[in-house]
Amino acid sequence: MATRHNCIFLGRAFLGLSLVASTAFSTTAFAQDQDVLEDIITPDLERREIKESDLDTEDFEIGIYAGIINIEDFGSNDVVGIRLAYHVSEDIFLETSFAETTLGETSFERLSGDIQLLSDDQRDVTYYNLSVGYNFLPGEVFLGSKIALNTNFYIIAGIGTTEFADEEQFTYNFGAGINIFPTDWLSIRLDFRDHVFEHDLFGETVTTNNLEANLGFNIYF
Amino acid sequence: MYLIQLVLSRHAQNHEQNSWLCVQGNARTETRTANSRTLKHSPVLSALLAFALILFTNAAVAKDPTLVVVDTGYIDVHTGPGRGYPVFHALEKGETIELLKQRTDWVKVKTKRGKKGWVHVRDINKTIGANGEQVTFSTPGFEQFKNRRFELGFSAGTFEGSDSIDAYVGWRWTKNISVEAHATQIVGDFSDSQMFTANIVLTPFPDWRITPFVTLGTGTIDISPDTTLVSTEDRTNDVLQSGIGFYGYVGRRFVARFQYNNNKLITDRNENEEIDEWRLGITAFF
Repeated sequence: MATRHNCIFLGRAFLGLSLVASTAFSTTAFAQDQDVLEDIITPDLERREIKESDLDTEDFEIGIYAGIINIEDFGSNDVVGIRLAYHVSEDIFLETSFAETTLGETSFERLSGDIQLLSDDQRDVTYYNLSVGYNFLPGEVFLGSKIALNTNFYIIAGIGTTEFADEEQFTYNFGAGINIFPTDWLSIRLDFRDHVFEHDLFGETVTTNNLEANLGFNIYF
Repeated sequence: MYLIQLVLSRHAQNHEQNSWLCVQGNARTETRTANSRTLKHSPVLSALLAFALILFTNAAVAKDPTLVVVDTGYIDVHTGPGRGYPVFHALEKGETIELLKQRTDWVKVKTKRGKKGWVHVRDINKTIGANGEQVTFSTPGFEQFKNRRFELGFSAGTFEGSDSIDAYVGWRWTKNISVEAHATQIVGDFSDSQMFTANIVLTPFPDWRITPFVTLGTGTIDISPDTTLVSTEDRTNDVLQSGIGFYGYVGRRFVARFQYNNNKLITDRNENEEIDEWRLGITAFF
């Protein structure tokens, strides 16, 4: 329970930190402050320069996703998550995500009758990660003859932890996906990810590959 | 953006009440006690709320238009904010366009006839303001690194043999001094820990491409022994952190950051614990 709370708190803290950072240098806030001063002090003076701070930037992205994750030995299960990304350039982005799922039964548990390897609480799995992504193959998809939507592929890799059977496991993730943009501030994203971690739940330490596929909506702001 | 800050401050209040469902702002939440279910779904719930708010703020933009005039032969307009998206339009010399917003190095523009597309900032700098202002959009580089205000970074490392992951935000107070907030997760064979610290960072040579720093910080560490061992209590210790490291400018908005920390855990026992920590990470700056 304590680890669960901590893990959630940490995941929340990461998201919170990133959000604070994103708001702290909000260009609109600066621009408004300047406007107020200009109105009071120098009403007749025109702007001498147009800079990036005069425009709203949309380098951050927040999203929600849902899909299926296969935890090795525990079947395929629903997963829901949230993500926050910062686009450093048109190519590279940094991303943090947090998701939760519930483990199914192992085939041993199903065959043996009422033997349970894990308690209900231990079946709740959460993960969070910090990843770097690379956008490539920008392009368009066409809906009929009138509508063209922008798309891009990306590859992504990162580190994080998975809380599995009440224990934190250091986790690598690798993946790829595709973004489709109905408008330029909204993307529909299909993501495939492999979460690799070790655990010793069955006695000896094994490395597990846990595949996830999800569909998400992301907003740029 | 103000709305997001509002959400965050609401969250801070709610956290004191130990219930995250309060973001819904109804009376029911006052009486609700913190249980695992409530806590479990709260991050997703709060994200949903933030998601909705951003949707609203995105929709409501009312500002004086930023108008510029094309001052070069022609400017290519792309369908999306990237060099790979096709060019579908060209702006002519003398044409007045409105600048709408920016994403990374691309600016969304609108022509008099209502055509919208994306132009690289390199080309935006080939325009002049409608009232004769200079247009100077900067692209991120070493100059920006020297004048950075904020940092956002994460790193991986070892914490006395255990794996550790760290994320931080930093704010540069003066050229030489900045403050940082760190969240660290440590995954060991026998225990898992979370550490939160606030740090002061001193950078004596801020103009160097590879620039050293020293840091001092304080915070807390929560240590949870793995449950498969003899059942033991979680413990929380204060921690004093001193560190040394360097930034290496990589390019654009990136710096690499290498760091050694000495963590002193203040315990109830006669001896305090000392833990060595090494980190290598990447930082984006603004």
